[in-house]
Amino acid sequence: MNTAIILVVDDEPQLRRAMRATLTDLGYSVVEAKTGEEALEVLRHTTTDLVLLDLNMPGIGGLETCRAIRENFDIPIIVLSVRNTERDKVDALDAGADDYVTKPYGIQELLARIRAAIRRTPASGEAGPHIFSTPELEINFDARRVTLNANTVRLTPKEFDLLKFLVGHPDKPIPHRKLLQTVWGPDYGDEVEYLRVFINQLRKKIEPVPSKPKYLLTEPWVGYRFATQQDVR
Amino acid sequence: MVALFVFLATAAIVSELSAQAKRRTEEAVTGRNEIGRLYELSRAMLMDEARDAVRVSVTKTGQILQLRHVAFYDAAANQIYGSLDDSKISQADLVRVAETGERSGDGDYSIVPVRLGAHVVGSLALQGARVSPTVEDSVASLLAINYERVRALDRAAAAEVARRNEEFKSSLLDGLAHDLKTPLTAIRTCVTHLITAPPRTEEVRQELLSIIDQESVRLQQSITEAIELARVESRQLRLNRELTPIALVASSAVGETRDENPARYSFEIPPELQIPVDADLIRRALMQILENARKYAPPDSPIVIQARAEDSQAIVSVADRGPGISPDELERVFEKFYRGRRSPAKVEGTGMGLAIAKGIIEAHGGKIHAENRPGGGAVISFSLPLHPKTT
Repeated sequence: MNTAIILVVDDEPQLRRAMRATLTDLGYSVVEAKTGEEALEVLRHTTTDLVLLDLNMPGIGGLETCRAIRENFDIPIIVLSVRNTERDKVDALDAGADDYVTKPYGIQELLARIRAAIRRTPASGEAGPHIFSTPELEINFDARRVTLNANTVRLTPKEFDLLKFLVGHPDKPIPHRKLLQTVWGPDYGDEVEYLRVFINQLRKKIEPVPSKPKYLLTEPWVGYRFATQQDVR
Repeated sequence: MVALFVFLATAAIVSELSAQAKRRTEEAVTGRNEIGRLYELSRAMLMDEARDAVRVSVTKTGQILQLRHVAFYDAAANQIYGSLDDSKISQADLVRVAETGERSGDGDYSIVPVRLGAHVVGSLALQGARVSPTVEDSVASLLAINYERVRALDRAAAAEVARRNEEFKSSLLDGLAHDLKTPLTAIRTCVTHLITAPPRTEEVRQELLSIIDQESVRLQQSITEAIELARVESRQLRLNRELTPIALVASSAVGETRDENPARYSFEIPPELQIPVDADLIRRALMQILENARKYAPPDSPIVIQARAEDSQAIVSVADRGPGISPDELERVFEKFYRGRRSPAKVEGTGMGLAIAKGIIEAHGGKIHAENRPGGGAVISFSLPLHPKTT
């Protein structure tokens, strides 16, 4: 049985109505917000497990809302939008979304994405590394704490899971598909742009020089590799 | 770029002149010297961002050099800026200099070619000049640079217009995609749920079905309006004009709105007023205007429909007590998919209504416009010719 509480943010009353009817029938609890401002207000006062966020809204708009949620809450965000270009997806992911679903969608597709976003990945469980540390970088997986040059860095749950999986398989190139299926879920595999955005964000947070990464390395045409021995290149 | 050019050219001219000026100090002491004038002229030209900068440059040349007559012949446009009235110079003289590239004149007047690089773009006639031929050439060079600058600005403006059009088109498509895909998303959400997981209660099933029903009606309206708009915009409307009492059209338009309170509408229409129109189309146009008023004004607030004959036209207006329209939006409300900023939270509909109304009114040879109403609210009014030209 699904027990998660989902916040539906959409300015279209009929869409909120359809989401409430279907999601509650499937066992989820639904809270609603008409605008981005309202969504932030709801998140402040209600415990929620996931945000379904429309992009095209009056007021502060979807992307800005996404950024604001990401800055203030550790909660998965799935963006829903009628636009389907790569640019739109990357913009949403850059703003902090964990996933992007194009309207109109079938409920099964959306449910799969919801389950994937809510379920913490195997990498987030007890298994895997406990700590990684170098003089400048320390990642404490049990305490979910990352410090770079003694400054604490905040990672989103997805970023954290991605990092944990890479650190758990050090110095080995991990293919895109493997990363997507482990961190996002079994229905994923082709969303290479997701990795590009998330690895970039991770680099900004854990690399001393993000433009010249020494930990999170790109393996051209294959995937990514977490380097523990510093390459001399 | 062009501005830099002008400065460089001015600098070159000025230094050339200052060398001359040294040689002829005795000439330079009479009144304002030539360098000063040229400098003033180059500044005057450069400062001018106006569309008619070339015309202004010609006028300034006349003022600053204290000429009796000055005229610039633009060869590309075959146009004269400035005036040759009462002068002994003819347009043919200017054209000849522009064609041959050789200066002409007598002691009183000169016509010099205006060159941009090796290319002659026109000619400049100066009469009553008390300046040296070198200065005349310099003035011609300045004018040439300014001429090119204005053309560059025009090209940039054209590119900007093209870019804005592209932006506008893509925002139109976005608007249409949003209006069609939103009801479709609600429908698919409900339908796929019904297919894959039987609802747990009859109530939920009914709720899903009612959303599907309502949203398919909404989708149908959007599509109907999109088709109607396309028809109106293709200017292929065939008008079936008949003398029609406008009071009749107005009351049936009210009946077609989705308003459940017909009592809020009042009519101030002379019953005898008849207009030769396509009654069906005008009813659609009026209905769209009424729907617009209904959506923006508070529920049950009064809406007044007026009509009167004025000269050779009938004027019909719809006045509401809604939030009114921002002054900068008065024109834009008739653009398709445009939604007013003062709209309450979310206004239903596609943003095509007033564009459809405008298309229909213009097809009848009429005009439509929006204004704010004293005491609050908006008035949309349109004119229709009482005696249209039969085509």
